[in-house]
Amino acid sequence: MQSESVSQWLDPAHVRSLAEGLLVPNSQSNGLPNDQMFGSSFEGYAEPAGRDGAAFQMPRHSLSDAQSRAASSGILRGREQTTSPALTPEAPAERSEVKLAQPFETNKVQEATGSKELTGQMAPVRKEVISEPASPALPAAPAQKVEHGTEASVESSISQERSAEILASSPEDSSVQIEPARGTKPPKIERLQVGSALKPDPLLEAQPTVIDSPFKIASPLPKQGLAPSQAKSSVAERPVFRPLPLSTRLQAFGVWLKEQIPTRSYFICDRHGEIVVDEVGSEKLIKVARTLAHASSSAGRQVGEDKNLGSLHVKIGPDRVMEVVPRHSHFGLVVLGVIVQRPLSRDAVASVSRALGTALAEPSAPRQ
Amino acid sequence: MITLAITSQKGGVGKTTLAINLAHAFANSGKRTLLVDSDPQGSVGLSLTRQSRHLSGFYDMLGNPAVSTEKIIVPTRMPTLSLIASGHSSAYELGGGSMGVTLHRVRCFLAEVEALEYDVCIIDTAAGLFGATADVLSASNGVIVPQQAEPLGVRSVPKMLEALARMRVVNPELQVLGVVLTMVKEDLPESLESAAALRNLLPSEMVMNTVIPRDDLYVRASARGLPVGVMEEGAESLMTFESLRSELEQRIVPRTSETVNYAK
Repeated sequence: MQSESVSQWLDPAHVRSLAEGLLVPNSQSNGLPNDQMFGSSFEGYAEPAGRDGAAFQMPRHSLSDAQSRAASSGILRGREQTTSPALTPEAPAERSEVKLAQPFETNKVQEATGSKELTGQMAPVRKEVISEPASPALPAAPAQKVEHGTEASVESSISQERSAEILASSPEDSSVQIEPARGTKPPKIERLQVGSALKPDPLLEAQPTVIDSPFKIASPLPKQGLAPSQAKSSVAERPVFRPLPLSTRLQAFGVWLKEQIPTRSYFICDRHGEIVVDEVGSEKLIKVARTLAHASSSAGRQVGEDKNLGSLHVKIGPDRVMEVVPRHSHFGLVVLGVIVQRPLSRDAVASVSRALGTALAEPSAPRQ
Repeated sequence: MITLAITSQKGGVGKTTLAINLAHAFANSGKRTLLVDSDPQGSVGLSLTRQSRHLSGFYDMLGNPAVSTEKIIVPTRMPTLSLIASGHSSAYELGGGSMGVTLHRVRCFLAEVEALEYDVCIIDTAAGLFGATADVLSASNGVIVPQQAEPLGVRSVPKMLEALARMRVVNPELQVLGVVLTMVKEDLPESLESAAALRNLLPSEMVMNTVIPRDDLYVRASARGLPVGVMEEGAESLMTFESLRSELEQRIVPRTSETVNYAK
């Protein structure tokens, strides 16, 4: 009777199937969770090669890895293995002793925020409490730890660096590098400084004025001014400025991109998911790219690196990686996704990003 | 170190109660345990310390890399148990919420916790599998899902499973350790029926044998800012969470299959 009432609200077979999929280790699950979201070829998020920090390795440990490590160090014991209260771990006891020496040290962070000393609902930590396992135990001790301040600051600076690096792909050993086109050098282009009603994107303003790009932009006007009479007469003769349409510029960008990196396909979309160019044909991958780009953008803002969004990559097959290159433009955040065999190097990403920025840049009209 | 996230799609299912008392059970068994509150509401801190609003915590660490993990750890009178309060989450609430934004910081945080030689890190999360909660799950080893033994709780199961399936895309190593039936009221037929329905619905290995009863003692323990296991009349509850801890440890079975290293 109960099962009938449940089945009125949900599909028991579907629920059971979902649950069974969750119980199977991912390596044996025939890609069930992957299929549901990103398709069978999606394997998960790739990590930059060469990362060997603990922060990158840790989440990749399986639970069994963690358990075996814990078991080998005597951490995880079976229930039958009792722990003598007298032998409760040494480290905590040492920590208690430290507390005894400085029972009312306050957290530097708390001091900064003006908070009062933490008294807790219980007395300060005392060493003898260790032998009283059944006593009321939890409420906080008087202070958060402040020792190892130097080490902590070093660590925090390291983690700060890491946080700044997380969203930038920098596989040191990546074999994919941008190389100049054979025989021809990418044209050097000078951005024209022209008066325009359109205010340039401040992010673009910060870029160097001379950049490598596959695009040719109208040559600068002669610097010498024209006399009023000459100017009048030259109006009719002046060639009409026809900026290349965006589609043409992006097409040129695509040609350049494929010349520079061994990509199978790519797509460009805006932050709302509107497709500008799509050779990939996978809505799911585009969704992943947008998600990563947004995360990159948000995280970049947090660490003050909003301008340098870097890239992210996702492993989507045994020999396929989707490199995601977010780029701010006057259209807003534009997302380029490129399917490559290996993650691109940082330099390659920077070059691609610059070229994309140039393609997206508002064409400058000659000064009137 | 093993990182266990306590999470659910639905709110009010007993996540915080489970997290606090499970952490206490692990600590009571001699394991160095860190209880982390990643719920912006700060329920763990509010349950255990009067000063929780002033404590720097998890969200301070997420928002400011200069805040070290060591400085936000609050020791308790139980030497093997420490906690990290939620902290000040206003910056996160204003500017965050998207999955992935804090993932790197969460990973760094857990690496630092591991370096501090904790054996178990239990993270209480906010309801819903998005934002910082999703990032916590992306970096955790296992997830425990408390499920209210009420009809509405059972009906929310499909969404919870779908969300967990999505999380396992991001973190293929995330092990779903099981669903814990909470707030089981033995004198209420609907509660018992809901519990039975959930057991029928899900594979037996997904639902923990241990159930958490609805008991006034939890309210009294919360009022005193204590885990229920340390209450004078809490011996039975202590046994309940000891049983749950034991069951969890048995479920953390070493896998024989090779794990996929995507970095290669």
